[in-house]
Amino acid sequence: MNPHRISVKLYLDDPAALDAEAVVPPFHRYIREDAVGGIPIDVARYAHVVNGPGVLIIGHQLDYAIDYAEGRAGISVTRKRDPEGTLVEQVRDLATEAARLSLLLQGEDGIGDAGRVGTGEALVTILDRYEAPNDDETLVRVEPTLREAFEPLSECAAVEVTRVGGAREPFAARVAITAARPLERWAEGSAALA
Amino acid sequence: MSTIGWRDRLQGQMDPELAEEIEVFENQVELRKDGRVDERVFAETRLRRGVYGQRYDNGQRHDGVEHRRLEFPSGDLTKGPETLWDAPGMLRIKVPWGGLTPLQIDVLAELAEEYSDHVLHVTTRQDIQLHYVHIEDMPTVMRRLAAVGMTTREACGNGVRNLTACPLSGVCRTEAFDVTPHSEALFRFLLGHPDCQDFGRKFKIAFSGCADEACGLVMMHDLGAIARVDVVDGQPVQSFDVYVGGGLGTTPHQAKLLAGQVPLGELLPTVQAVSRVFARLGEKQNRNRARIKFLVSQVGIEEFSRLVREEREILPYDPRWTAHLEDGLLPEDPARALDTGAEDDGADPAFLAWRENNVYLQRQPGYAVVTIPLPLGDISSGQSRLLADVARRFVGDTVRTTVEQNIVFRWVRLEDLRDLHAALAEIGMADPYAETIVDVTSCPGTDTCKLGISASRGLAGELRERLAAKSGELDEAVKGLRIKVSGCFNSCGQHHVADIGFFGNSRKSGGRVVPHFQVVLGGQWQENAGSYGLAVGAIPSKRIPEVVDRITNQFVADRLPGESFLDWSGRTGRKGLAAIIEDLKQIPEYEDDPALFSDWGNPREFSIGDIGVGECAGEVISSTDLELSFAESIAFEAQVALEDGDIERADDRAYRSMITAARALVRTELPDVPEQDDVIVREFDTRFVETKRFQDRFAHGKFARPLLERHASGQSVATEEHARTLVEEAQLFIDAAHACQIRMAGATSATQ
Ligand code: HEM
Ligand code: SF4
Repeated sequence: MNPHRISVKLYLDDPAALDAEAVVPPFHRYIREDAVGGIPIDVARYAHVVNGPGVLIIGHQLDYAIDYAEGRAGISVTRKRDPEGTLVEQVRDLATEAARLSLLLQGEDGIGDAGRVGTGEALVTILDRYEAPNDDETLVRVEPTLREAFEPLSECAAVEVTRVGGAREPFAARVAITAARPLERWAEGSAALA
Repeated sequence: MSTIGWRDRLQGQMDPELAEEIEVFENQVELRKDGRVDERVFAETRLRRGVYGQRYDNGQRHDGVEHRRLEFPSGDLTKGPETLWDAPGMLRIKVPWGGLTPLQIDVLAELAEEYSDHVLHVTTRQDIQLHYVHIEDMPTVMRRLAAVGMTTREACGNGVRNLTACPLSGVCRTEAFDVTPHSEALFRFLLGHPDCQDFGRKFKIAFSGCADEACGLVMMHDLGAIARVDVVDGQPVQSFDVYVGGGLGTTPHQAKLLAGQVPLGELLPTVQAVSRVFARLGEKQNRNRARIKFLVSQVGIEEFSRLVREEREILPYDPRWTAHLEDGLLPEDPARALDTGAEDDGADPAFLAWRENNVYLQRQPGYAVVTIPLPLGDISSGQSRLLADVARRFVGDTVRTTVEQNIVFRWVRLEDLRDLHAALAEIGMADPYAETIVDVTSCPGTDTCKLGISASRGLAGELRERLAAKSGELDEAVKGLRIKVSGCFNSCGQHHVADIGFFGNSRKSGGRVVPHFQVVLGGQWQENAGSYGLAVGAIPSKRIPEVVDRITNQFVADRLPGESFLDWSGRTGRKGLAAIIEDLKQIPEYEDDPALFSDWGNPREFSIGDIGVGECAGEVISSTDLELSFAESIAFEAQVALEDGDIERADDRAYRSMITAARALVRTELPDVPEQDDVIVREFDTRFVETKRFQDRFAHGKFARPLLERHASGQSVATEEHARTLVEEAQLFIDAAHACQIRMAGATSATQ
């Protein structure tokens, strides 16, 4: 499978603590200081849209967002173009980027702990209805990939994958991670976890 | 790859002509990628298919400290002059007369997720836009749209743009008759029509069901049709009054009556004849004079009408002119037949507030139109899907977009209102602010538009939030006002027809550039946008909420019983209005209020385009600044004179203000320029116009022309319309002088 776009979302521990607009200045700075990858272009503000994409760093290859889709706030990172490595690596890299962004935000004055995400759960979305319709067949095809991507993020290699959403929605799988490694380890990336 | 997959899967589901078009476009994309099509040719090709550029698509972005190059993988490959291949683009999707089905909404949501940024944006002309789409994804997006009967064809470029119509057509209590079938027939007839391929500029059409309400905004369109019914020999006879030559932009024009009582079967050939005359005689070289409004002004409406009649006589017969009439004009059917017909009028305050502002009772008893306000015209893909489900449940296919950037459901049974409200509230779409002052309209502005000067969306969002927070305390007279914001003088946000309008510009202070908005008061929404507001002064962006507070408070304090904002602003006069906000014009030192030097929602220090921030922060105000502000006060006198009906003085003051601004620029290089108009204009022409330094990157030399022409003619023009135009142009001339000065300062600091 060579999907058009993939996204990984980690959920904020305390969604009410974070004001989406508070990330706008740091997001602009991350672009200026090359703190994020994927050829960032600009910051898009959609916090006024209920359950919307929130505030994003829109890039050529990657989008980073404080994302309010499904009515649950999280940090999501989407690969839009020029994927590198296997599908397993692509998914794990997105989880790494989401973890990195969380750590960056936690280091910001005025954000701190409000930027913390949990590691017990991730949502993987494949934004390609042609390659990956949201049905059980796709789940069968991608489950091994998702397991392989997330198992190293668990101390005991224990993950559970369930499909979510209806047929009109993009394929999405909730990954529950038992005894998840700390966020700092996630942020170190594939090589450190091998 | 899914690109090829979609093409194969959707074969047979698309209109064959559209499918062919998309195929050709896809080939063009490939050819351009290989460098086998010229970039200019490709740019026009893609624009005609609704594929626009977006901000930063020249690969340059000011990051708040310096200009940075965006290092895209395709390097220097372009999709048009100064437009990089990999840079994000906007796709405008036509929604003729605003009509949408739940299935189309589903597909739009899919596309927003897979190719854009999860947001559908409803525009001020009832279109839908997707932003940040890559050029190579466009053909697939177009195919998926075509499979549900949607097109992007001629959504941009020099052709017939989306055709707009009043969202209440067919259900309105005051309309003459339903314009929907006529709008649809005209839309299909003109799409790709050979007579519309040779325009020098875009062509916008609107329909309205009556003359008095706003709805279709016919008077600000290149061409508009207003429905009417007359009784002839005791029988009601339907026809259209056809108007031509309106438009906003830098020089707003009201449309003029081309032909009254045009029989239904004559509408399409009449528009076809207009198209031919426009294609043949309209300006082609100078984009800034190419809209039909300039042609109509130039030859006069009588002569233009004669040319159209002459052209009509020789048009070869086309059966499509009347096919839609012969088919019978079927009215839209409600999705749900009435049951009890009785409305449950419970006392839940949230429901009652929503019921008051968002519900319009249809002409058909028992049914209503419900407005779903979209903040800044945005709706997320997830919400769109949920909204499509709500539509399926209550109203079926009778959904429309509006020019106020909202969505309406038609044919809602009154007995369903409570359930509909509950269903909308559940998905966060039951804001009770439809068509109130909270429901601010805005163009894309600096968020995504290349031409944006100030952050129109940032400002609109801020105003919306503040006004929503105090909506309970707002005076009834204020509640119904309209606010509209454009990011620059091009007026895409339609600020000219708002009670309170703003358009973005900028001013220099102490070596830095400060984002501003020009305040435009007293535009008329009624009577199809029957008259335009006039500018009363430019104020720093961050102080605009204060402007809104002051203006609305003053209105409430001064208002005579029953007086409208339009009448109040007319009575108060320009001088009186300007006095309310005069002190807000003062720009403090940067150190005293740095926030004023950045725009709404954007912490980067403000900059316009490639202009660097001068390094002379803290510099005292220069003599050029002083002279330009002097020019502005003369322009203001011109506006006051116009208001007092003193046409001659208005003309003279407008001209004087331009001379003063031109002199300010000339003096930067020739400090001793004499106070003689001939010398000033000559020096200005040779130093600034001929060297193209006065040129705006996009508007080119248009802002200089009024001065040069008015000077060359050597005399005052007598008519009110000319004077009004000159007064508007004088303000733009001064804005352009400010911009030119900023560019010069940038260039100087860059070379220092
Ligand atoms: C790259 C972005 C854009 C550019 C370069 C652009 C350009 C212009 C220009 C030059 C005008 C002045 C009038 C003229 O001479 O045609 C104008 C007017 C207008 N544009 Fe845009 N525009 C842009 C985006 C938009 C968007 C996103 C909308 C919303 C659909 C829009 C809707 C309008 C409207 C409603 C008017 C004024 C009404 C009229 O004159 O008929 N424009 N635009
Ligand atoms: S008004 Fe100006 S900033 Fe706004 S969309 Fe039009 S061209 Fe862009």
